[in-house]
This record gives sequence, structure tokens and C-alpha cells, in this order.
Amino acid sequence: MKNHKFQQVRVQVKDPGESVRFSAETDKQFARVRGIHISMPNDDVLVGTTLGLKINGTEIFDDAHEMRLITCGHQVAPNMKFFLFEENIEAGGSAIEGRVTDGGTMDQSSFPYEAKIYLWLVNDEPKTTS
Amino acid sequence: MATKIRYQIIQIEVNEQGQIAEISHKLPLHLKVCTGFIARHTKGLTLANDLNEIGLLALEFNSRKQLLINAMVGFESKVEQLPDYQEVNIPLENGQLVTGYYMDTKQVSVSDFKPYVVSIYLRCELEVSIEAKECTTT
Repeated sequence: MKNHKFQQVRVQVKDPGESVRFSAETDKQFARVRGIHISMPNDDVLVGTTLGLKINGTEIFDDAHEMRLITCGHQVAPNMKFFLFEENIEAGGSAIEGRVTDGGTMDQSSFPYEAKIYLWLVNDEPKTTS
Repeated sequence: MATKIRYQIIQIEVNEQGQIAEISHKLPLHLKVCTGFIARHTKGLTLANDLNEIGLLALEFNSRKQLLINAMVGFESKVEQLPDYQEVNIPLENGQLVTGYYMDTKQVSVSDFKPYVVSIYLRCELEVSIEAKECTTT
């Protein structure tokens, strides 16, 4: 049985400043979400762009949470790119709801673009939280 | 299992060179401890190189009772490493204010100044962990 999966959620942003809601479901075969990484077509569109995220109805990131805080450049090793959750975020078919809001700093020529959200799903033993 | 980490975001608009912006942000009642923070430029500036300092930040917790964070805010021109939260351990009193000041120290001529936004992310927890830790700050 596989213990790791990188589940991708793609969100298309068509206009500067646009706010796009998205929803998905985590893969049922994995127990928890270990981390998140966002891949954007270029660094400039990250400026001021935010991601709100709820998994299984629990707020993980507020709508004003900047994407820059959960991403990094391509020089970082693949498994180190992820922002790791310190808590147990249940996967197993949990509902994912979110909102991507473009920072509005780029002109129309940069649009549309696709924000790719990668969730690192694992089956390892959950961490014990105090 | 419910999560206990919540991020509080405080945004500061800087519209003038040398501006001292006052911060006053009420924290929700259910937050019990602040365990980390990041203060960073969010948008407005477009520079070719990184700057170690564009401003200085001082934050007080629990309605001005404790001055616990002093930090420089820098500018990052490119996306490189995943940002790390500065670890702190600040017990929060119920629903009190986070206050303080941000001072712009970016040295440019008045005509070259562009307004920008700085965001402070406070990583807070809903419960105090069982291990009682000493209050740590910057």
C-alpha cells in the first residue's frame, strides 16, 4: 500500500484581483495531510496573492493568508518545498474548500494563470499533540 | 481531530516615507498563546535586490502590558526559501489588544517613495500546551 501521495488541486485565475473559490476532496486512501506547497507560473504573481483553506470544515488558513508563506523557489529540494502542518489534519476523503485571491499587481498579459496546490498525503502514524 | 493553531494577520499600510504606523489589533478570546511570528513586506515594492531593512517593528501584547517583539522587516526580491516563523512563547490574556508601531526606515528620496503593505503573521494556539514553557520573545 502506498504511504505517500501528492494530490494536486488546480485553480485558474483569469483576471487581476480575481477571487476564485475552489473545492475538492482528499484521497480516501490516505489518513492525514502532512503539508502543502503551491506552484505558480512565476514569482511575480505571488506578490499579494492569498490562499484561504479549510479541510474538513476546519480553518487552516484565513482568506488573507499570503501564498508566499507556504511556497518557495525551485532551488529547494522536492521534499523540502512543503509547508508542514504541525498538527494532525485528517485526510481520508475530507472536504477541501478554499479561495485564491490574486494580488492584483500584474497586468492582464499575465492572465489567465493556474495556481497548482499540492497536498502531501500520508498514511504514517499521526503525531501526538499535547 | 480539531486543530488548535490559528494565524492572526495584521496588515499595515505605509503611505509616506518615514511613516510611523500605529498598530492596534484585538485578538479573539479563544487564543491562549502566541508561538511564532513573521513580519514581512506583502506588496507595493518592486526592487531588484533584497533589502535587510525597510522598517522596524515593535509589538506589545496583552493591552500594552508587555513589549515583547522587536524586529527588523526586510524585503525579499525573489522567492527562495520557505519562510520560517520566529519562535516565541507569549501567553495571551483573553481578548486583549496587540499594539505597537511600525516605522518605515527605507532610505529613498520622497519622489521615489512608493506605498507598500507590511503583514504581521502571529501563529497562535487555542490551548496552552501541557508543558509550561518560559515566556520567550525577541
